[in-house]
Amino acid sequence: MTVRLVKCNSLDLNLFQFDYDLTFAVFFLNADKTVYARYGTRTGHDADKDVALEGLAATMNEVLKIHAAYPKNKSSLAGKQPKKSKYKVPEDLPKLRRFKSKLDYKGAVAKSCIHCHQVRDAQRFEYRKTGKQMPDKLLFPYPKSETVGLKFDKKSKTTLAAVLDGSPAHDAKLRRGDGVVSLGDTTVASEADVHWILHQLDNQKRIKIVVDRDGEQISTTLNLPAGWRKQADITWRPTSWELRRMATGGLSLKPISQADRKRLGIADDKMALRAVHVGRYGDHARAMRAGIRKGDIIIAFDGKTNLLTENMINEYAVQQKKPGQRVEIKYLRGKRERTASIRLQ
Amino acid sequence: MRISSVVLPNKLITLCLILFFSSSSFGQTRDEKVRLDWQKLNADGTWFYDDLDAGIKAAKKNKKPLMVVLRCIP
Repeated sequence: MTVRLVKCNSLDLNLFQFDYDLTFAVFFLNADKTVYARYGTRTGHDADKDVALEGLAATMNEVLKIHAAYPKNKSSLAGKQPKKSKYKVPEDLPKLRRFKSKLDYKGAVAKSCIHCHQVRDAQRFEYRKTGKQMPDKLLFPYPKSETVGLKFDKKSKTTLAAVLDGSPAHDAKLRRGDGVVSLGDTTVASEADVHWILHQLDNQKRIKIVVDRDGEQISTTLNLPAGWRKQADITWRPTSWELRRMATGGLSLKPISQADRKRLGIADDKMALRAVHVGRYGDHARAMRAGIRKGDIIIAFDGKTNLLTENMINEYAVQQKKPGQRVEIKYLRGKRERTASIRLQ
Repeated sequence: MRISSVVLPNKLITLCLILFFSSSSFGQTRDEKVRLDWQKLNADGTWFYDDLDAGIKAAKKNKKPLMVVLRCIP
């Protein structure tokens, strides 16, 4: 049975928990709403780069096997089940209360739609509004499998196309061609299942992984280094747009080249981030109104010069600073140093 | 699309995948894309379109698994 949902309005948040930065996500369910598997992965700006028809077909075939074995296999699916949500549907979230439960097909239908990324935007907004430190899980959601060294063949169900050097997967002696069977005692039928399980981890330092190697099942452990979740780049995510509003008043930042560092005499361990986009409207324009322009190079944020990426600045701003606080931003225009002051949101 | 056997026929899978990977044509406004998606996919009987409850009911009745696709159109 196939269901197509094209909006998040009235979406059951106690069931449909997934990476809300996706534009294409699949849930395979039993009629009792037990989650068999998820499909749909995105790790960059190109929304379709990480999915393939062959991979989806492989997951679909696995789902049919899971369904045939259900409910005897229920315990192996426990780790895939959604958690209790504070809100039943997205329009219950304070930031989304203006939306209705149905789309306005007769009027401005696209504007009546709650887009998936708006769910996470609203969750972050709620946290930010309270002034509480934003949790890592909300700031760095659904870490891609490469953060633990697993690179999947997107045309397969869960076969490894590569194991990244120096990673937890490499240390666990996993190999290219291994098929991931389970992670943390939960069977996996797709890379999205792996992302779900990684997302749910809190402070665990290790997780069991079972792989199929030439028909033999091998059990080993991924040892997770401190801060592994934060290694994921989140700048591609649509939800980073709102994060930039909160953290820098609308700046999109990229590290400058080595040649530019050399030319400007900035050491490798010092901040040097070029403003590649500066928000121009509303609350996304606070940095612009403070004087920062596209092309300026940020060299200090709130006195910190060791925040080397946009991720690190955003993390610092929403975890260490509160809305309403002022921060000073030092930047270079040409070779001249300037200072701007913005009030955080 | 009814999932009815452990090994799905290739043609069936291909048709199904093309239908839900496609997010309408180029050169249309966002509103037009959303309406066209509804017109095309709601009418052909393949999908329970924006109706999870009906999908669950049918899955229960037919003892089949459910595939729920969340797709951003615009």
